[in-house]
This record gives sequence, C-alpha cells and structure tokens, in this order.
Amino acid sequence: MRRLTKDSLALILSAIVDVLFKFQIFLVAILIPMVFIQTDILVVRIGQLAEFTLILLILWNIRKIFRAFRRDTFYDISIIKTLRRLSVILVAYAFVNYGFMIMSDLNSSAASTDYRFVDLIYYYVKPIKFSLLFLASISYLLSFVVEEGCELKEENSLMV
Amino acid sequence: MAIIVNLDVMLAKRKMRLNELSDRVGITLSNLSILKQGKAKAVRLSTLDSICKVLECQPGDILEYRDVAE
Repeated sequence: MRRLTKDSLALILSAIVDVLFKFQIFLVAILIPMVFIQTDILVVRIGQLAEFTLILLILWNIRKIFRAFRRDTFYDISIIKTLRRLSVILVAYAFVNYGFMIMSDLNSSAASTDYRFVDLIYYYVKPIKFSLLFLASISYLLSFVVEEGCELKEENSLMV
Repeated sequence: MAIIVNLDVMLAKRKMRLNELSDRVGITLSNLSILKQGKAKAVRLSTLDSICKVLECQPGDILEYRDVAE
C-alpha cells in the first residue's frame, strides 16, 4: 500500500473541506429566506442561522489553513491570525450551541417541577461541547507554534 | 545591531562588483545583498571563508563591532 504523503493528505483534506464549505453556503442560503417566511418560529430560525453561519466561518478558516498547507505557505503571519480567529469562532459556536441546548432542554422539562441538584447539573453541564473548547485551545496553541515557526523561517531565510 | 558589515568597503577596495563576488563565491546575489545591507541574522563560517578567500582579506575586515551607544 502506498504511503500517504503530506501533499496527497493536504489535497484530500482541502477537497473535503471545500465541498463542506460549499454545502454550508447552500444551507445558509436556504435558511436566510426561512427567517422571513416562518416568523412564528423566528427565534429558532435566527438561532439556526447563527449556528450555520458560525459553522460556515469555521469551515472558511479551516479551508484557508488547508490551502496554505497545500501551497507550502503554512508558516505565515496570516495563518497565525487564522488559527486565533478559528479558536475564537469555535468558542463562540460552543456558547451559541450551549445556549440553544439549554433553552430546548429546559423547555422540554418545563412540565417537571421535581428538580434535584443532580438534574440541574445534568441540564447545565451536559450541553457544553467540551470537544469544541479543546479544539479551540489546541488551535490557539498551534498559533503560537506557527508563530515560532515563522520566526525560525525568517531567521533561516536571513542566514547567509 | 552592533555588528557592522563592511562588505561594500572591501568590494570597493578590491574594485569588485557584487555580481562578480556572487559568481566567484557561489552565493546568490540576494543573499549577498542581505549581507551587504546588514540585514543578515547569521553568517555561516563556510560563507565567510569563501568571501575572505575571494576578497583576500580577514574576517575582521568584513565584520566590525561598533558600540550602539556611540
């Protein structure tokens, strides 16, 4: 079996993210008119739109990173900014998602009045997407690695 | 930086152009230009060796330390 090279991996990942990005644009484009048509569930539609837009932004940033990876321009100042922006967007997405999960969970359990402390912990902690928060922190951490790499690259290019 | 590169002075003394030095030393013109302008962060000993060989000089003729406070 042929070994997966850096170039082929970058090409595959970039192609996958490209397709996902275009599909997400399509989803957001479908959702925008829905906000104006279905005004009875306006809050839900606005929430979905916010979530979809954040996913679009996440994909856009990941696409930029993979493209840079493919073009061998990974150690660049723009990538540092992209990684930091990505981590902020991931945290924002986790918050938005948490808010909507809490709202839907509390709405569905509104009939129940027999709340216990464990139930409250369950309702408030369960919806937190820790994976996204970890991903955001890794992305932020990676930005420092790239920053260091950029400095080394610059130093290397200025070595005669 | 306190290290001054006097490559242009040595080139003028030897009546040599940067292009010629680049050809004889085997270093790209852009790299020599970086060195001449004092933008270089590091110089390989092998580079210094070949420059000194071509210009028939000592490393001290090319590099000079000058106190920043002066």
